[in-house]
Amino acid sequence: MSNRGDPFGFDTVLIANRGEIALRVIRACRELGLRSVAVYSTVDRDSLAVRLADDRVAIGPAPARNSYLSIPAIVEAARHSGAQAIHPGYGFLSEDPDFAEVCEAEGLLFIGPPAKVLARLGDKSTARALMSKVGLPLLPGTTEPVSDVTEAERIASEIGYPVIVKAVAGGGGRGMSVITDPADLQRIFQQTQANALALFGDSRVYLERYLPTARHVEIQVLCDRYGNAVWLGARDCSVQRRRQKLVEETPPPGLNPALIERMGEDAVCGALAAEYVGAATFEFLVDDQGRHYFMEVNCRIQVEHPVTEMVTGVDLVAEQLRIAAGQPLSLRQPEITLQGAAIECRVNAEDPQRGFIPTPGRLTEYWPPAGPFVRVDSHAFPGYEIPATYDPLLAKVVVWAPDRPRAIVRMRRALSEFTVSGPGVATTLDFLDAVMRDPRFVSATHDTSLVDQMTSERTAQ
Amino acid sequence: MTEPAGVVSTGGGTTGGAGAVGELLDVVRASTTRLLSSVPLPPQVIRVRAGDVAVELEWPVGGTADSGLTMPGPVAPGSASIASGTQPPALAAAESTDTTETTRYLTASMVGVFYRAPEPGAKPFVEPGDLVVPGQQVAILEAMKLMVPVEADIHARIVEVLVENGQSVEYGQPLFALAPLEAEGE
Repeated sequence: MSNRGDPFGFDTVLIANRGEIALRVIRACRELGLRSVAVYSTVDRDSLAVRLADDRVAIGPAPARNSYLSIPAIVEAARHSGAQAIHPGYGFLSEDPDFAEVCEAEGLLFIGPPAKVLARLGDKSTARALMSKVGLPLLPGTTEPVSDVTEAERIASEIGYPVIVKAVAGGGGRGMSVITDPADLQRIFQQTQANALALFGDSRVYLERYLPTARHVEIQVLCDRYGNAVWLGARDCSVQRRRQKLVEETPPPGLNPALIERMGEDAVCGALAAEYVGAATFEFLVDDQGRHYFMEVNCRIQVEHPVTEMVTGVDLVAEQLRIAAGQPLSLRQPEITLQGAAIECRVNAEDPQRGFIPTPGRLTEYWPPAGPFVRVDSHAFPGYEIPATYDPLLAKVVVWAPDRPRAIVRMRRALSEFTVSGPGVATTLDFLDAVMRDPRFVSATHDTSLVDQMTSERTAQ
Repeated sequence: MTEPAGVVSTGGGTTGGAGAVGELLDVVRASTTRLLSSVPLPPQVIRVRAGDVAVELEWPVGGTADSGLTMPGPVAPGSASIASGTQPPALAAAESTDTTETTRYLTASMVGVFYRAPEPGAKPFVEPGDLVVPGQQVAILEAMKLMVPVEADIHARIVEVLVENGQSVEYGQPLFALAPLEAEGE
């Protein structure tokens, strides 16, 4: 196949994002012979994405709602730069059905699923109902939103405490709370409704059994426009803090391969039922009995996609672009083989000693690790100013090795090479190193409570 | 914007020996030059302070920067005047203030298409040479069929329209060059 932009039907891609993911998409575009356009807010003027893109458009001031979240600004920037396609990255507008719809109406190609699929899967209760219908296992709970406290109390006692209240419009770890004591239900239930309204403009919530010691395992899926879907292994994202992932790895350690296979088939089945197009992630919880439960679908490229790329050799962002261009999947399921193990550590500009508060500031030193089988996706450089306005992700360190023990050793080596400093800037580097040395992580007996356990042990010392 | 006859503070309050004072004077000179070039006509008085060193420049009414230059020394009580034997050459430039340096720009508040007139074929809101007042509409920006008026933010004369009618502009892109009027500024 030609390596030029011709088979795409578009030659210019606008990246409606910033930071490392904007760079990631620019790189994929360049390798595919496509022109890239960076958009930026005033504080990102000197960013690497702006520097490396083929063209750039200023779209607004620092606050995201006036720049990276402004649909008119992004659509006008596409016109301004002659872009015919828009890659939304993750976060910001990536899962906004309105944005996808506006793109469709304005004749711009949205690199992601159709607006109606985004709406279908973005509504957690519709998504649960659909997945349940095609046979995916769900945690005990409701598929219909619950609005009434008395009804919530009845349902909670039926499914058993602890329960989790989740916003129908939520996702990414926001808009959910756990109730362990029935006496707290009324207060927490109403609080979550209010939070959901404030965060997502939608107060509807639903209830689900809460698993305190589960593993978070997700399946990467790719679907083309012609009803072909494949899954590309599983990622374990159990090292989380307040449902924000810190470490991700593939394959999930200690899980029965037959179980992973089942989850993969479930994800493909669910994606086809949802008429999905593009890259998706199906999130599951796995309990200590080895049972899996469908949680939600993320309709975008994920932060942790590189670990999948390391073991499959598939460039997921390039696949997104090809699929959007209407090309059929280049791979069939039997051609997808998983080799070795990969781990990703998220280096955030946060201070683990002070409850992981973000520490914006200017970097005086920035020396990322390198060497064999080490990949660093980052937009940082010496002199880079980490803005206070956006998320604190500074770099993703990804390593590959033939097996998990050697990947852990390699990650320790990579983290030890990483030097980042600047006035007032702290990072999660030391904490990540502690995870790589924690006996629970090393023996893969950890679950989603690991970070909380480590934090309380560190404070106790 | 810096106002004529204002006080410019250039940070750090340390004073040392004569060398430090010399350095401060350099800073003061640079600030003064900048100040002078930012106003259309030489002001009557400019007072610049850096640390403990302050410089005051006075012009007789109707005079030029050449005349009546006075440079009082450190304002620390009881200190002696620093006599500056030679006039800082840069200050002479203030005499012939370049108009381009007084220019202010009205910039785009969003990404969009720039229109000079209320509708196609209509007379433009403003032409070069026109005087505008704060709040006066001078153009339209359109983003996804949303029309947002562009308004002047100061009393000024339109010097130049920098963007063609119907052209797409970025956030922050200069649209008009304006010459501020003297009435403006307090």
